[in-house]
Amino acid sequence: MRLTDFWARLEQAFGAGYARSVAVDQVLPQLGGRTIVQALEQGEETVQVWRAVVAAYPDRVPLRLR
Amino acid sequence: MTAVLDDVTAIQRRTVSLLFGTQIIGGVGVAIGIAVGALLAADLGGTGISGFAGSTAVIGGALIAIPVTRVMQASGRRPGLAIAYAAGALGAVLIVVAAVTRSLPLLFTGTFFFGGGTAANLQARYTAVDLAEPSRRGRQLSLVVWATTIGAVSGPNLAPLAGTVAAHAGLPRLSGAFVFSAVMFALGAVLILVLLRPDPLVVSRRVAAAPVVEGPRPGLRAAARVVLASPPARLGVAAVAMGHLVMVGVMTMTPVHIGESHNDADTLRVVGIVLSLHIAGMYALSPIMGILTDRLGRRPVVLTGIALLLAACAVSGTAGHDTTRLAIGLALLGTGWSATMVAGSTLLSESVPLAIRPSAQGLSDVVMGFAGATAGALSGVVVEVSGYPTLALLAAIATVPLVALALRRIGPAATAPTAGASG
Repeated sequence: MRLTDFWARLEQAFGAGYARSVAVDQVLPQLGGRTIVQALEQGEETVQVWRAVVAAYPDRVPLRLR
Repeated sequence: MTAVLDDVTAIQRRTVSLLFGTQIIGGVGVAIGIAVGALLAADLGGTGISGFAGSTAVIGGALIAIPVTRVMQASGRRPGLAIAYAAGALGAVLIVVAAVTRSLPLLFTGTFFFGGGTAANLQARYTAVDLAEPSRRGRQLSLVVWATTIGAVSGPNLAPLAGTVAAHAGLPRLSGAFVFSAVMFALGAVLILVLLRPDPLVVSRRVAAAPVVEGPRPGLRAAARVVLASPPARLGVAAVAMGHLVMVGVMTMTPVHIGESHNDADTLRVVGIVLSLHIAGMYALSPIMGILTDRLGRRPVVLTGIALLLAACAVSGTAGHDTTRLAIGLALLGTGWSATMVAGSTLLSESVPLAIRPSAQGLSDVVMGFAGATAGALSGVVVEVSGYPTLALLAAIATVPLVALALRRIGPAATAPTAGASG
């Protein structure tokens, strides 16, 4: 998954402003207590990070984006 | 894995239902006592000292949160909440003894421990998010805050009944409220001990798939370091504390301000109406704040809260002795507090790693308690020196650092959605 694709999906799920806040503010247990931005900066695969997002927000991510 | 998640959903549902109940019970215990505490202190030591009862309860609540947080961090929510309620019950019993023996030092020792009830009611909101799905945290936290309303509204109205019961039992009438509080807090402690199983914090640690990164020993000091290093956590703590500071500062002196233009009988009636609207603003709308927090995000709701607090300061500060405008101002003050409280607590909870979360949450309540105590103590001085409008102006100015934190551009540019880098 390309990084631009990752961000596009995140924005579709949360809206542009909130997506940014989710990425920066929320530590996810699925990412070992890191935020999305931290995980990406530390070289985590985007597809792994996206799976973590889907697992953490099952009712926010539409099925077509999974 | 699905089975585990189903379990978590069921445990979370049970936890929130139980907390809903204990919040009502604890809310009654706190509210009935606070309604009568100042009267009892005035009866024992004169009006000049009566405000002290409230201050020691606030400071007690903040300081008791420290050992309670340590217990939660080490052993889970269940023992922590139970100890806080037990401290509140002990305090209420000491106050009853103080009323019987007419001992002022014992009264203030009692009101200090009575703060444990407040500490428990505050920490309960964090217990509600241990296992909440990220997209529902705001709602579940606000539901627990909302449950306090029922207690806060019904508590003071139960005081006369409690007084009558106490008088029948040969106790001083004013001590009746605290007999009631002691029973409520003890009941809260027992319900938590028996029913808060499994412990949501312990389960949340078990569920967290990834190993928790070992940091420094996670006490309050370590939590302070983590919070200071994390912009969202900083904003969360600041929103809760500053919202509380502005609210307590303006609210504390509103009855005094009303008293300047009314006779005694009228003052009590008008204060009753204005404060009821204020409390309604604080709690009744909190579920809406929770929904907005989940739909729009935490920062927009923090900013909305600040806007409401500023509007409240503007309306109250310029109201003069217009009761309707004061009532509107105080209702706005309550809703602003609610927004900063719900969104700030949610933001803080999710922006610190699980390993240190209880300590960070405890830290936020300690900071909030001292912000409230400081505001309460200074507000009287400000009004005496320069009047109620100045107090409202200073309260408005106090939000400036919070606005700066909330508007800070978030996130490093390198990973921004628009950067267009491929991964």
